[in-house]
Amino acid sequence: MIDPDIQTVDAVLAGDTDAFGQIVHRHQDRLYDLAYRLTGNGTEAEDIVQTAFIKIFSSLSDFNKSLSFPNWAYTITLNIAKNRLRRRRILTFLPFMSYADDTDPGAAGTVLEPEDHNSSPDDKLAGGALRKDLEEAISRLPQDMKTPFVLFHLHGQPAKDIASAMGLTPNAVSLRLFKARERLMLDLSPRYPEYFTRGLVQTL
Amino acid sequence: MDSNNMEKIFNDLCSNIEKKKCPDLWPQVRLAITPAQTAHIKYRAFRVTAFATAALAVVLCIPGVAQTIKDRLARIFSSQYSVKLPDSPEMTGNLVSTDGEMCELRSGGTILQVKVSSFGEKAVKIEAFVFKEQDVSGKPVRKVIAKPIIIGLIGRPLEMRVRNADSAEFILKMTPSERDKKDYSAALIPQYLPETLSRTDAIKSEVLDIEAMYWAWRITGIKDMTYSDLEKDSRSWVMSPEFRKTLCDKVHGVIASGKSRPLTADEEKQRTDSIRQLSTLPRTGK
Repeated sequence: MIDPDIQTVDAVLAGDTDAFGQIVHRHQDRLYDLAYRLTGNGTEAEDIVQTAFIKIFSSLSDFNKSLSFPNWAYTITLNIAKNRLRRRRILTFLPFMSYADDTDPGAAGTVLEPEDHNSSPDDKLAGGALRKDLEEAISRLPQDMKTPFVLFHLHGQPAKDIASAMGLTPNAVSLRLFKARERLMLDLSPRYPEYFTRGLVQTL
Repeated sequence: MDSNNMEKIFNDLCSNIEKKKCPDLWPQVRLAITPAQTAHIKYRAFRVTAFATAALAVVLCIPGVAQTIKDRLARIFSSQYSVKLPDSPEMTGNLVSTDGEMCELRSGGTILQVKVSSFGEKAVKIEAFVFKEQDVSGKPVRKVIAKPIIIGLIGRPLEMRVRNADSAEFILKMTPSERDKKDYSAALIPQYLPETLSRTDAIKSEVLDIEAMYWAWRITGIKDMTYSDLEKDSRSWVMSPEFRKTLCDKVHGVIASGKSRPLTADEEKQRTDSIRQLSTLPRTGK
């Protein structure tokens, strides 16, 4: 089966500019989500993704079709976001719970709790608090750990693709992921020993 | 705990966090990638009153322009521009900006920010942000009216229009070009209206001794800058080159005499008053 992205790229390169709209609609959410989590600013994220799509369009002829298009789009978006962060020194990483903005009033507090059919209501409440604290802990992670963590755990990208997008080796990405998780566990284990302490004891 | 267990725990915790929904970017992207050099954008929120100012004063702010950034510059753009606001005559000028630097034009309560950024070797990305400034509880608050973006070729004129439902129209025309980095120090000297420059020098002349004493004390007493810093930074100040030299010579003289001292309260007040007067003068580019 032919990759729909490749088909669209071919159509755009053949002169059908409007076909690029399919690419935008297909990828804008995930790129926006990444940019938003890195900058913590909706307008900035929108601007980054818009710039990324313009860059993608102008570089389409250079795209190597043997590679993953989404990964290529991630690479471009990450580079633009990194430059912006460096330039404007925006190094905030907002907790996920505070993502709601004016255009999406219902988004506040809509983050779902982990599915656990065996848990009691009390357990679910505890899970919600855990996630909130997790988000705050993530916001305290160093920048070089946040990006792989978000791409791996929130966007479901394999380490190999993250490595390619970030210009690292897969081992380096795995190491950063490990360090990020370890740091988060150390941060959270005092409040949630039932989740983490056993593992930490074993590790230590 | 092994790595796989840690991975599973965080996968579980993060699995139900939804992705942030992005507003549809296609209309703006389409506008930017369309080959046409003219963009027509309609915005409902755009109001005639925003641009209908009787006394027009266009002010170009220069955020962060300093010689110290020269070495870090990638590209410098120099763009001939003209701005046409409803019920106002067309204004022209030359916008010199570094790659990605935001410049600001003001007309009464309406503010236009323009950012020129690299877009490949032969093109630039022009981003405009139109704001309306209002007083809310005594504080100025900016409301975004429009954010058009256009890609232009270097050396080719382009036109950007923002139109509201009442057909009131804002038009920005630009011809972006690129300058050599070596020209940057020259570009630091703002191109102001001649009458503005003469009034600036006149106001500064009245407090020349105070100004010289202020900077001499900063250099010798507070020691948060050097004389060469003063010479470099003063290139971006609003004053004629002749007056700049006079001031620098005066500062040098005070330092050499060893008589530098902090300003008295009265001198501080005079200096503050002169700065307040300067801030009211119109400027039209740099």
